Amino acid sequence: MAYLRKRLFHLVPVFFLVTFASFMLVNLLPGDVVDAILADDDAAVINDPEIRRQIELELGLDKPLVVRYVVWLGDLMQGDLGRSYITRKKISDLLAQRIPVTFQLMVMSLGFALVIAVPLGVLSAFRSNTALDRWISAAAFGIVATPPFVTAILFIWFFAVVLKILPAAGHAPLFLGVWENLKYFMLPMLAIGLSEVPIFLRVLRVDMITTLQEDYIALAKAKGMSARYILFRHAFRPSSFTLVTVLGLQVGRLISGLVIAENIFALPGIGKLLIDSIDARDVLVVQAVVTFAAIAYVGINLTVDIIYAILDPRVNRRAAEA
Amino acid sequence: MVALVRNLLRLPPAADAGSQQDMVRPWWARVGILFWLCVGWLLLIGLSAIFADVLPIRDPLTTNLDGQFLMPFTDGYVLGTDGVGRDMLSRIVHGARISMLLAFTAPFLSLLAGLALGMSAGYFRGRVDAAVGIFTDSILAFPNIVGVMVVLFFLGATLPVMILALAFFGIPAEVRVARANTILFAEREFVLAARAQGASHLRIMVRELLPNVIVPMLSLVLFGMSIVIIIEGGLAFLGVGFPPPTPSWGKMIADGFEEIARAPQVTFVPAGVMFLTILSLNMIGDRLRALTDVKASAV
Repeated sequence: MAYLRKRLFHLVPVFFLVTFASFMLVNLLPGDVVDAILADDDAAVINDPEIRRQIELELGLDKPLVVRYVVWLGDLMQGDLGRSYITRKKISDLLAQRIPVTFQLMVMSLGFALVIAVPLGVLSAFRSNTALDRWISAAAFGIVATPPFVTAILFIWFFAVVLKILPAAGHAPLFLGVWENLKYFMLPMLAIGLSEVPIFLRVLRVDMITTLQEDYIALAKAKGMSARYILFRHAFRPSSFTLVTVLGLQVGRLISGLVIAENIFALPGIGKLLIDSIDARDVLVVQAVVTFAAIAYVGINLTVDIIYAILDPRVNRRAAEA
Repeated sequence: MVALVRNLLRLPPAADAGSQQDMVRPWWARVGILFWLCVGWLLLIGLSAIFADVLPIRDPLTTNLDGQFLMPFTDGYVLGTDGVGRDMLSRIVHGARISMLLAFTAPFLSLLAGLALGMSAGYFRGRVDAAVGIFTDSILAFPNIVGVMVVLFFLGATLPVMILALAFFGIPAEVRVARANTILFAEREFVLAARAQGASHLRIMVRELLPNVIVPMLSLVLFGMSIVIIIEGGLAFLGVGFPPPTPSWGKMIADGFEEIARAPQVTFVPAGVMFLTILSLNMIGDRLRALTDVKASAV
């Protein structure tokens, strides 16, 4: 438990700093906050003192900053993010509608990335410094140099324009059928997943090469165990720790990828909501999406720490000694 | 031929560093021909961005409605034209300006901030280390594209805001490497000697540690440049970067994408240029890292 306690001591201040930064975004707006919120409304609304006072009251603009932050954080914890002043919808409802789409895309992309990266990483470690290893590394190098939106465009062009086997954009809810739903997720999944592959692959390859030099691997070889058994039974778990940590750190990158992919493929997720709200200058929704993404990042990293402590019990002992 | 392909594919370079024969060859021969091709490409992009206004190329904003979607090498348009007949070559050259401007500012600011924070964390450890860790992890909680996009939204899409935002979200990577390298050197004899002579913390950090820490970080700046180009491209593609008339690679890709079924080359030409630029930066960074890696050179 010592390890998790240490991580909590770290992540709790991170949580407060991150939420405070998100809270401050609205207060950093140049000019009057109420003007910014009412940006697109007509002059009659903007100059209506009644509406202005109501917004000031709802945001608590008459109170000091710290008080407002605490109240805002309290509401946030109860799932109350206020209302959009443009669509008049509850922001929590907007998020709740969009989260499943983003979550599905995220899980599918991560799954796809791991399915590709793990066997290739193990293989290139097992055959390190051979032609195969170099080809895999070169391919990974090429993928790293391709921005995610370019990857997405390449896939759209190839699968939707040339081959015409998958739709270029859109979304179908699950009740229209599983394949109907999945086929709109295939291209975004490929695009995001593929750009995550190189990092996972590289991390796993390096750890795996180190593990394969251990004495117990030599012993297993001497006992005549098959290469596949040694690789996946003996070597994989101790080589996966960095991968798991990186998985948590990559969530940020993944979210960037989701924002881009959802907008290219017109998937109604959180990332699409973010760009739509930026276009509509819907200040509070933009703030809410950013806050949500940041909290999700902290939450996922805490989960990763827990998984890490279970996978490698040594970290607890090391943390207790330190 | 096989030997050439094998040489081109010599990735990762650390694989053959340290062999006897390798030590004899000068560094510029050791990095391989691909490295110099990449340097050449970046020079080409960089110089054409600087001299965009005096180069004998067409105006990037002039439209030609008789020559839309021209293929490369037709009617004197080396890279063809886009949907309203604007010269692609000229737009790429002018678009390089914004990419290069950001690439040569933001990563260096990240480097400065990262050095200050990372070296303090690695040198003082304890509470300073914890505080720096909390700060950088908080930055990481905002995914870089989203972070820059939102800062541009709230503070206005101007060039200084963009540079500072890109620099800010590039800090964590620099901090991590600066801290790790500082820890590596902080207990070495020359540092202890300086301390015994009564040098101040600041003097030790600047005079003794900085020269050792900064070398491996220069390759990081190159990776930072490619990240900046990717973010700028992504933002322009989504239409949340700079306003329309400014040519930008990301914007060109976005414009071409609308007509990808009709004229894919309008998308793929700027995408290819962007790919080669990022590839070159990464390749050079990778080779430099191999050259300056403490472990690889085996002290």
